[in-house]
Amino acid sequence: MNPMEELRAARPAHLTGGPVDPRTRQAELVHAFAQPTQVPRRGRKALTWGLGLASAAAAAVTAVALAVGSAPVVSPGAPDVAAEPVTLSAREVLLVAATSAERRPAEAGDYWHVSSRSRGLHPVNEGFVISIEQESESWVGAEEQWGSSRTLAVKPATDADRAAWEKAGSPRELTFAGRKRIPIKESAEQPHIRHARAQEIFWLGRNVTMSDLRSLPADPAALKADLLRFYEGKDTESDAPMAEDAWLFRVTEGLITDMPVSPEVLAAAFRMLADLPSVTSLGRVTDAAGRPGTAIAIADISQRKPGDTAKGVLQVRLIIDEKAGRALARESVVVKPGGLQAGLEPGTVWSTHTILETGWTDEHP
Amino acid sequence: MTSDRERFTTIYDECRQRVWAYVVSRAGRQVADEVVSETFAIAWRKFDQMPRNALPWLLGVARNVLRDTIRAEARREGIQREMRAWITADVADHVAERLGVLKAMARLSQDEREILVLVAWQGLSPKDAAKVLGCSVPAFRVRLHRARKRLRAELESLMLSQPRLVEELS
Repeated sequence: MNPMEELRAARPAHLTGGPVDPRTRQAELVHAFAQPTQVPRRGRKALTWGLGLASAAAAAVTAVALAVGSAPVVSPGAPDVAAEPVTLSAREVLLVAATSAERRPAEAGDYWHVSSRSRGLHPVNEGFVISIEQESESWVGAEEQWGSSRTLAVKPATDADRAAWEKAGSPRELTFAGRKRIPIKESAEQPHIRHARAQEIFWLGRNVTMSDLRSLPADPAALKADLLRFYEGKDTESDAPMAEDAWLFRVTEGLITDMPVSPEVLAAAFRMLADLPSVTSLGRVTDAAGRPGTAIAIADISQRKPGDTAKGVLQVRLIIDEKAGRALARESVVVKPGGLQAGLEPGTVWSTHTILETGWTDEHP
Repeated sequence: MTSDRERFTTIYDECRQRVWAYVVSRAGRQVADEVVSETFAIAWRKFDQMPRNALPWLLGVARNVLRDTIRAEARREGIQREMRAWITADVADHVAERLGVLKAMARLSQDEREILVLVAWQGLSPKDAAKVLGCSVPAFRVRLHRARKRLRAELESLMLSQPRLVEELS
């Protein structure tokens, strides 16, 4: 036999082809289709988000017009790069996430541990915006729980806000939401640990217990029906009217991000969101911790109280790592200033809640 | 799904495993999925430039991705590990000829091995293989000729030390 024929015959078996693993195939096609297929449009500034405090200024000035219900285009972490058009639908992303979630091993332990960071903006009466950054951790057992939280900083949100604060004489205490007073804190405080005996510890449109979570249905339609038992056509935080999709999104984002549910229930939650027509995909983004993910979003109305005519519109985003089948963060961005976001520029990242770690452990503080 | 997406998916299904096999034969299994995923992401981005005969073009993209994203040292380690796996897996077959030719492949340079893989394992014509490497067809023929000669020489030298080879692997 000549050497080339020998070589042909000696091709290792695993290099001869065979079908692609279906999950790999799905993940790779999803990744490919998340790529833009055309030259990005010029002259359109990208929205910066998932940002650290230092770049918060960028969020305020790099405002783009976000159309409610459409999928705005986001190119995170690279403010100078033109936005990338995204072709992947929210449904596709969520179905991939569901498949990945199902693959995750069921874990066990005595305490459900969650560690997270959050940042929110608050316009103050003194005429500028402050940001409040917090870090928190919780350990939740069947009958008792521990929580640790600390404020990392309370300070002017952007350089412009800092200038306004200094111009006002750098007051150490500010007023927001009409009358609440809040002290400026430039450095992180010590963690404050609390302990409580309680069973109802998670929120699903109502307070629920660990065992309530265990009995959630693992079928998307049944899960939806189960959750909707507590939907009364209004906001979870007030009596303002709230659409069913927006309500389900709000309740489910908590379930997905930081609750101890089984891989099957998690998958059902992703599939249920996949079927909500008003959920859109924003494509690849980076969360506040710098992790890449895909953002799906829904529009939400913001008003201080029912009947308030100065309504604002927010875009609520859930950043998911669809290959890992988990959520990384939830964020909200001002689309139309008003309500709690009156005075903020469109495009401003109003709040971020970043999940750093979730899992079972046998230890508590 | 648009018709572009359907066409792309068909091409993906036809070519994916061959692109993977090429990457494995260049840098080993560990990085292969990552490189293949990136290759098809770029392919979708440049879908309007993809020729009808997609495989050589895709292999060329994969080649660039490998060069740009995987360090030369990691590629070398990856392929060494991979070739050890080829040889040990085939020990079970007790087919001395296959062992010999794989062992000979392991002794070639990366460039020589790549040329032989494209022709013998990917089944590319010299014209298509030249496209992957980005060289002219005559230049490819010369390189192929040299690589075959080197393979033959290594094979012959291994034949002489056959008993040692088997010992070495057991």
